[in-house]
Amino acid sequence: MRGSFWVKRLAQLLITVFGVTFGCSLLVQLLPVSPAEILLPVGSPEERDLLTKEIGLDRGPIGYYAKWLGEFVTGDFGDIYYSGGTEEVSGRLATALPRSLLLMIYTQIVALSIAIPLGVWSAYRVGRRADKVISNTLFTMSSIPNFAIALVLVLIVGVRLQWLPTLDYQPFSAGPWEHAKHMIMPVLSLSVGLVASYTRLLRADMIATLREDYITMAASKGLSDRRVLWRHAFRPSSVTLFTSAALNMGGLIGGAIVVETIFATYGVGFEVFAAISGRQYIALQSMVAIICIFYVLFNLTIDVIAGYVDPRTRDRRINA
Amino acid sequence: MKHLFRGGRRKVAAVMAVALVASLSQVAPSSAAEKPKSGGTLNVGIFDSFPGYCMADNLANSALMAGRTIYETWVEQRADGKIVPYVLEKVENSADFKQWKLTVRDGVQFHDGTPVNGDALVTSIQSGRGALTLLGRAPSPGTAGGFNANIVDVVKVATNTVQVNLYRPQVDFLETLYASGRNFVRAPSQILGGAKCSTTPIGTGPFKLVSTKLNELVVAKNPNYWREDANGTRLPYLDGITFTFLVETASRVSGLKSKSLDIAMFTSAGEVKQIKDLQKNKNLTTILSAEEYYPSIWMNHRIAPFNNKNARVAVSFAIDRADFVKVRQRNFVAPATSIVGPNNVMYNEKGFRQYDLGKAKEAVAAYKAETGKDLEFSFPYTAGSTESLANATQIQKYMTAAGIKMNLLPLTTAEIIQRAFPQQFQAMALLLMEGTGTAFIAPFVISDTSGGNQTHILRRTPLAVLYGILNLSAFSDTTSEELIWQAKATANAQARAKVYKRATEVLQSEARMTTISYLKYALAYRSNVKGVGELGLVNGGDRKLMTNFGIDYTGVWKTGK
Repeated sequence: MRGSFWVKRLAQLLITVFGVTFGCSLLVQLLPVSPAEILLPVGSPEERDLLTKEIGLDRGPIGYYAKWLGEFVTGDFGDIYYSGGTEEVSGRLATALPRSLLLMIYTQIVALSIAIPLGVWSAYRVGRRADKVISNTLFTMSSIPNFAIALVLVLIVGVRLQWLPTLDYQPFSAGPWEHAKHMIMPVLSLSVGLVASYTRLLRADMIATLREDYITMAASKGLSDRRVLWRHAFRPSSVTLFTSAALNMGGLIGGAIVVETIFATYGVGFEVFAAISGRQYIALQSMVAIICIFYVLFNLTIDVIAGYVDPRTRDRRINA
Repeated sequence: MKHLFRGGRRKVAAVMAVALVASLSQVAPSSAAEKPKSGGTLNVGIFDSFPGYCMADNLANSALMAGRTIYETWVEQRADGKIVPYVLEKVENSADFKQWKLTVRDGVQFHDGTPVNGDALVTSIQSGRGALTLLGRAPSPGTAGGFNANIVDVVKVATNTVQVNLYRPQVDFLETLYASGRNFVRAPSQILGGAKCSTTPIGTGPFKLVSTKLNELVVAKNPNYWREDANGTRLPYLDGITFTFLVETASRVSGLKSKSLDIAMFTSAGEVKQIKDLQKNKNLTTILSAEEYYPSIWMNHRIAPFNNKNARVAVSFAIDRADFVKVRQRNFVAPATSIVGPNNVMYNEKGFRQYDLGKAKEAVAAYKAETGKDLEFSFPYTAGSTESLANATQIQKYMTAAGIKMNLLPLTTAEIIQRAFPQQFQAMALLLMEGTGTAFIAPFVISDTSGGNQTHILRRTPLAVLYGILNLSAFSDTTSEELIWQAKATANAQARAKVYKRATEVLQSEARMTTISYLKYALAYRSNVKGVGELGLVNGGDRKLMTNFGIDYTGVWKTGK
């Protein structure tokens, strides 16, 4: 039974990845002009013919996709085309992907570290002053876009107080503090909205869970509130929270473009933007595929985690 | 018209004169008393990205500034506008200005250790005119092919000397060789390097490539650089520079204020508010270029409606330039009074149509009478850019007032360029023309930059399109074109200027294109940056302190943090 669950999930994952990447490759085929003309605007007809063959555009939609996929799975993500040469997309992604992944991981750690205690506390004190203060504050926070928070942080923390640099990215190898200094403001900008969203999700689930009979039973057995909250209520209430976090992880890889631009962090989001504005469709296709793979992998991971956190979920899915 | 200018032409001229003097007199505060210090790195914020470094990858303005730390040019422009040898030692020309002998300076070497000599110069010129592309040895020269189309041949006559033969006499050939700072001294290993031409810049400049991406260029000191300062210290002083593309103006401003950046560059095209704010900041020094950049509205003569003169005249009359400068550019620059600015040799107010709503409406009516159609056209702006949209909307307002329907077309910058050079739009705004001379003006207003040379090397090839590709309005005007070639053959400077001005008058009378205002560029730097504009040219004379490609970093040094 469990084996068929995994087969089904993996099949779904592969179908999603194939669907997205094939859709992208069809878009390249459906362009009103030849991609070779776009990629080599000042090239000769011979150079364009050569490029058309090299990319596989002369093989029809299926042939083109098969060629692209064959190269993609071997780590050849295609090239970025200049008037005087090419650059490998994999080289660009090798720089951009770690930045985006770290930004996403730090953002999730910060957001969850704040949202979980707040959500639990808010549900425990539901209807009381603490709950109202937290709920209203979060409502306000969720309405502020992350770029606005970024600009305010830049103005206050960067320009006025001059505590942190406002631009650039430094890898961990440049020193932990140097790395952290450049990540704090981008991470905070992206975290604020997530804290609000996560806390509200957890609060709602916790309130429902705290009304369950087994919670009343646990409390009547004389267990401490803390133990009831964290051992008995939090675990089953956290499935929605972690599912939402997983979806956001996928989204943050390619979707933090505004914050990446403001702080000049330049991760995958910026590369996608650059590929779109430079009409580098082959590079774009590979980048979308990478984002898609991360997206479905995070979802699969959260499915597995959800099964362990709340066995009822796993059983429901297996039975389904 | 007078009441709109609030004081008439005299006042406008006075304002322009003050602005001109102010811009020309902008000098960096001297740090001459301090002894230059070697070492340190700079972080520089710029507003253009790095699309590549091969001949056709035209680096724009602030990215050009960065590129010029790696590359130098065969000749350089002095502050007074004169073009003088730089990596070249000597230049000689025949009496008819059709043969030019260029001698390379001894002892200069590329970053890959190879010498700069006659062979390198031949490779550079041949690649720039497309000859090596035809042989399959180098990528396409791109628009450079159009700039260099008057060259018939180039031959090496000594180890370090080459002779360039021209089809038409050209007094200002050195301006073409300079190409407004864009004709780099590239190593043959780069030009002939195949797929790496765009990604591996190899020049002779004071800095060498460390790494480059679309949004960043990192350069480090070239230890074998050929120039020394007056005290015999080998240049450059800095250990390295990181140029970062920061599309958001706010990021560049906050970067300077938070000390994340040492230097940042800005343009008056859409960043006037920030430039004015920086000028007030006591911790920063802000320098400005002269108003020598002339963004034009190009009207495509090949297709309707601008294949009709009345349509072009109507648009030219309809634009309230003084209002545009006030509303969109906070009176930071001057409204246009000619298709080029007062510093340019072609400047001439005759034939230039100033704002006149009545005459615009008359021309619209004449267009309808002739064609039976309402005057309507589409106009692209950069999608996602609020500044570009605001500028286009402002122009649309003027058109509506004159009874012209202007449809706004959101496109990416790449799409705009894509459509611009095959001349596929009806009208568009694009900054192409610049400078005091004509090397960066003439190719945009000439239909055949080979001068009609029927045996030109590209004539029977697909690259022949490059002769006229820069003429964005896609017109052929034998009168103005012949005047320009005639001026180029005239040795006497005053007589030459007169002929150029007549050409401008013809272009303006026919409303080939129009201009709304002129542009300038700004560069702001922190107090720890020293030596800006203090290092002269190798043969004496100063460079221009600030241009569209910023400043020269060879003599810049850094103090403290």
